[in-house]
Amino acid sequence: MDAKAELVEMLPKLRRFALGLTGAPDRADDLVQAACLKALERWHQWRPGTSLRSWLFRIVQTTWIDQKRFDARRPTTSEESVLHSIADDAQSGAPELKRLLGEVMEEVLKIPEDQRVALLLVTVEGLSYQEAADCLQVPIGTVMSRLSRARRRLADRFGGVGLLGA
Amino acid sequence: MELNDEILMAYVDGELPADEAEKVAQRLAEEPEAQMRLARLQRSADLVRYAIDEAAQGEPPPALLKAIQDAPTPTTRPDAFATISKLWSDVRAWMERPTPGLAALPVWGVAMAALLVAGLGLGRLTGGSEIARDVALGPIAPNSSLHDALETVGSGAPTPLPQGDFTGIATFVDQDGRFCREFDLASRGETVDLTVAVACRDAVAGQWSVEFSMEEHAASSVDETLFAPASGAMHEAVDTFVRSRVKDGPFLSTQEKALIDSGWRQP
Repeated sequence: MDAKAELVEMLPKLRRFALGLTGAPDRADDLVQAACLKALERWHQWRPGTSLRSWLFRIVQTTWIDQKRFDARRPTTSEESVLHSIADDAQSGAPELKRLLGEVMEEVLKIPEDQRVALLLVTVEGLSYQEAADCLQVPIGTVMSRLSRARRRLADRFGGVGLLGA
Repeated sequence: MELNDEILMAYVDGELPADEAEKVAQRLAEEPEAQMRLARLQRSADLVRYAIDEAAQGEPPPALLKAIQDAPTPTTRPDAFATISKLWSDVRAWMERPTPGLAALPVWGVAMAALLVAGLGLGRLTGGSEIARDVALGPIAPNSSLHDALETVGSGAPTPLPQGDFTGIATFVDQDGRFCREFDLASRGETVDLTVAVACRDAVAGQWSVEFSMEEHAASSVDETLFAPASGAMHEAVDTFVRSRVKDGPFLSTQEKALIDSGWRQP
């Protein structure tokens, strides 16, 4: 498969990860676009035999850090955008469930970014602790402690909520 | 074994070795309180996945797909791929060699290559004397093999030089209108070194000058405090440098060949 086809196949995951970083769909797509162009430009730097997925997540994450650095003017109220996008199609499912998912997303976006990134990579994208550590270029123990703080916080707030009982 | 949250999470995430996972399963059967905590962790994790999936659903916008389709297709460089991946497997083999004390540490992956930086105004990250030993910043001697390689060797395939294997990565024009080349130099001595550098050519003097150079090599002992994740950071740095300088390019291999054949005259 060529590079572009691989990227397109990865788009749903990259967009989901970017949404968890930025909190806003428009920003997420801008971020994914910038990251994809960067990946194509630097395709030769991907080492075959290593995880393409982790490499791409890393590019998305570092691109996001760059973007934030140059774009400090946007306040962090962006979670509203996500809530709207969930509320918009509220008619397609049970309203209480939509509201609950909106609350979960809101809470996720409040988690400090380093913990949130670990959560997104491991819990949402299914990377192993080692893959996440390589991706973030931190020791595996750091991934575990960030992840556990994020997970404990979510378990405290939503652990008693069953999906079916929502 | 105490069933704390970290153990339970590692259990849920399938990160525990089989024997430990079995122990956890046995303990869980005896500890209803731990079962509850496990259920809370699992439920909240399910909810997070569900919520993000819900928020992120929908097709990618056409503009995004178009941007990818319209981007230049990456050039495949099988020879350089082979060189770099061979290099990295050597680095790994070196790092994974049995050493007393190392076995006691957690697995740190490839993070044990020390990262040495020169140029970019970043200054020296270390006090070591090996910084950019192969490719020093500043003018390249006109009678050197590196000069010849920059003048005559097209990008893509490695060429052996006394310092190591030279591989051109990309050729571009910088904001001063000079031709610049990004290249790798991979050498193998006591340690395995990989240098990424950018050199630019003064059109009048025909003189190449190194403006960016960064080298990573396998650290000599796990006690060194210099451990920094290697190639990712290095590539980010060269990336940032090239972006800050590039005016046009990178050239296609046919354009680059025409430049080389013409002795780097402006088209």
